Amino acid sequence: MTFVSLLDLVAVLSSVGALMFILWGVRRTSWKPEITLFALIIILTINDNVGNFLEWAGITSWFDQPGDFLKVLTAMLWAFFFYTFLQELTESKLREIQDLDEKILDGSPVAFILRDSDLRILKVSKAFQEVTGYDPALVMGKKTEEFMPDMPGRKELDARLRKVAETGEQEGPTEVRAPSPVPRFIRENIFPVCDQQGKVTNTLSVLEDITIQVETERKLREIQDLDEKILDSSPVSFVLHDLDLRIIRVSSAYEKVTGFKAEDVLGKTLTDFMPAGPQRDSIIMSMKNVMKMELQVGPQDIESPLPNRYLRETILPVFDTGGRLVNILAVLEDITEQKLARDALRESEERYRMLFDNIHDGVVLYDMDENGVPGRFIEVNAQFCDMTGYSRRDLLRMTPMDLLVKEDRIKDARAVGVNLLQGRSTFVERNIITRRGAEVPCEFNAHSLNLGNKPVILSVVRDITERKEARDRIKDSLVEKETLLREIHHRVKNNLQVISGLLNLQSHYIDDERVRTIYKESQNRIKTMALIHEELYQREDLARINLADYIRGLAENLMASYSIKGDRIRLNLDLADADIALDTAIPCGLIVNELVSNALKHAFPEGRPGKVRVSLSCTGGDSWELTVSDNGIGLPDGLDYTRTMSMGMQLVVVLAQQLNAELQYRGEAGTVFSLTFREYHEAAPEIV
Amino acid sequence: MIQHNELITFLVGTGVALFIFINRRRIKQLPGSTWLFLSYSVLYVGWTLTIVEGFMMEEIVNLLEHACYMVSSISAALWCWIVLVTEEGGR
Repeated sequence: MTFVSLLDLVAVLSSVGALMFILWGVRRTSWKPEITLFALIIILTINDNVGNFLEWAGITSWFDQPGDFLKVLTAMLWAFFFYTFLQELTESKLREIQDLDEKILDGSPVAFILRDSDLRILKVSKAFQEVTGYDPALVMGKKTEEFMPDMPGRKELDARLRKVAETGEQEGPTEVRAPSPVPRFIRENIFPVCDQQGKVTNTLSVLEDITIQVETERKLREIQDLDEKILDSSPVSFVLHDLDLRIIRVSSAYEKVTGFKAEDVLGKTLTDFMPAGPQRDSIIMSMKNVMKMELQVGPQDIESPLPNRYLRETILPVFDTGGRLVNILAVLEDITEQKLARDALRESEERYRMLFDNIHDGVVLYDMDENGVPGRFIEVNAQFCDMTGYSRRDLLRMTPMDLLVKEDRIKDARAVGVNLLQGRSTFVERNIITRRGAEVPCEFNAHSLNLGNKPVILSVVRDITERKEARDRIKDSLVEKETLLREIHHRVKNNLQVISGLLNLQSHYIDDERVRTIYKESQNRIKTMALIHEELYQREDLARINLADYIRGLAENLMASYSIKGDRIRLNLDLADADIALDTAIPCGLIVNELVSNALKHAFPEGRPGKVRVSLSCTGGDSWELTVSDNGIGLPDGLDYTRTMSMGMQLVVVLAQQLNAELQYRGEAGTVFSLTFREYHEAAPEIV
Repeated sequence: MIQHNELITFLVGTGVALFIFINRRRIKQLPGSTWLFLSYSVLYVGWTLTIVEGFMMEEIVNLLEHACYMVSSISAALWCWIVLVTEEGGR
């Protein structure tokens, strides 16, 4: 065996291996015809290799070569193999493209209709049904007139299709309304489909559902119309400028706001119609700034070209959908009324601020919660700042409690707050602590107000240091005068007692009983008046005395004075408590003195026993009844006590008249004198 | 000495080689096309050497010719392996 035969042997084995691989894999390949052809090539190659091997191995005797023409056949098969392979590749590519085309067509929201030259539908894409509302199965092979005879514009569509088929030129786009249940708007383009010779064989209609687009455009138009209506009905004026600052649109309010007519300003810049001046330059400068910065300028208040009118102007950039600046929009609002109202408000505020700050008293405004606890100061005036020594800024961070002394803070703050919340004005005196620590007595006159549905307290704070000092001085003076008056009453009482004592001493030198009795009566009358002064200086109130105590003392004195021994004459006192003015008490005392003295002297002669009763009772309001009675012998029959020569009874009558009292006498089982009186006030001396 | 069938084989082979050369880019799309190219190219060289051996260095050229047949067969086997057995061919 030669080396060549070895090479041939390897070749034989390789080609046989190749055939084995083909047999193994031919079932799973899609290139069956091509692989079968290659298998033929391999078989011929095996044959050739085996022949070569046998020839070089010297075994030609049992294997006859089938002939050299097989080599030519092998070469031709190679050619055929490559040719069929390339054909298959080409067809495979075409199939892929076709599949892709179909996928694209079916996946596209745009519908396609392929018609033949007779305008019958050959093929439609998946979107056809969605766009037109027709079932593809019902339209295949049909002309439009056969399934949509009543379609508006059908004849025009057929005419366009024929035109495309004849001229080979595209038609469209044309917008048509599809007759589906829900109105749809379709944009249709018709394209010619030509064969390799350029002859139109088919037409392809491309249908695009533009319902959303049409609806959107309609809505946009509606919105635009609405915008225009809003703009035109708005009292605010809108002026649209192009980038050359020419006015291209104004709203209907423009003339009212500026006085310029729309037809006079459209297409013009401000310099064309607006008088020169700083106002015009300022607006133009603002618009240029808006163009440069692409930011809003304003709002700024400007004077209107109309006299005494004011405008608020805002200048804004207007961008297109691509974000490019395309226009400048000026918004003009007539703020004359607002400005006048604002000016009036400012004036009013200034006026009230002036009043607030210049009022002599401190005025504060502070919060209060629902429990009546005061919150922070909302406002304080300058006087209050002076009063406390704090600045306004400091006070606005404080509460009224921060200024009060500790005991005042807890005293009745809650009760005061609740009173205020219930709408009652409150008047309190409190000491406040100034910044320097001094205590200043102040009078707070507080009222509750509603400020924006929130309860706030307005309080007028008055420094009462001087008034309090004056009051203290008056109080001291009053105490001093009371002391003096008490001393005077004491001394008057003493003097009257001295007089009474002198009369008593003198009466011892009188032999005449009648004269001595007169002395005694005078002495009792003086004692009666002295007793009044004694009562007065012992009391707190120097103007009034307790009449019951006075009468009790007076009656006991008389009993002692007339030396009533034992229980011969009993004194019965039934006296209601009554604080009576001095002017009433003195006549009452003298009347009691005379009536009791009369009873002790004359009612029980010859040592008769009996009793004297003095009663005082209130008969309603300030009306009193004083009764002096005895169970003695009574007045002589026919005696008119008002006309008697007795000084005592005359005194009783006169004093009763002085008191405007009603004096009654009843002679039943003794003597009963009853005096009904009201508190008597002597007219005060007129002060000139 | 030139034999007729060898010359015809060479001419047909040359035509196939030209066809392959012209469509080489498309044929490259085939899986394992390198081995297929190699197989045919070496076979074509073998066919050429068959003619050449009649004119010079008969033994050496003959040896080369048979070596070419061997390489061509191996390449063809490899191509079949790649296309029909491996996953690359399946793809």
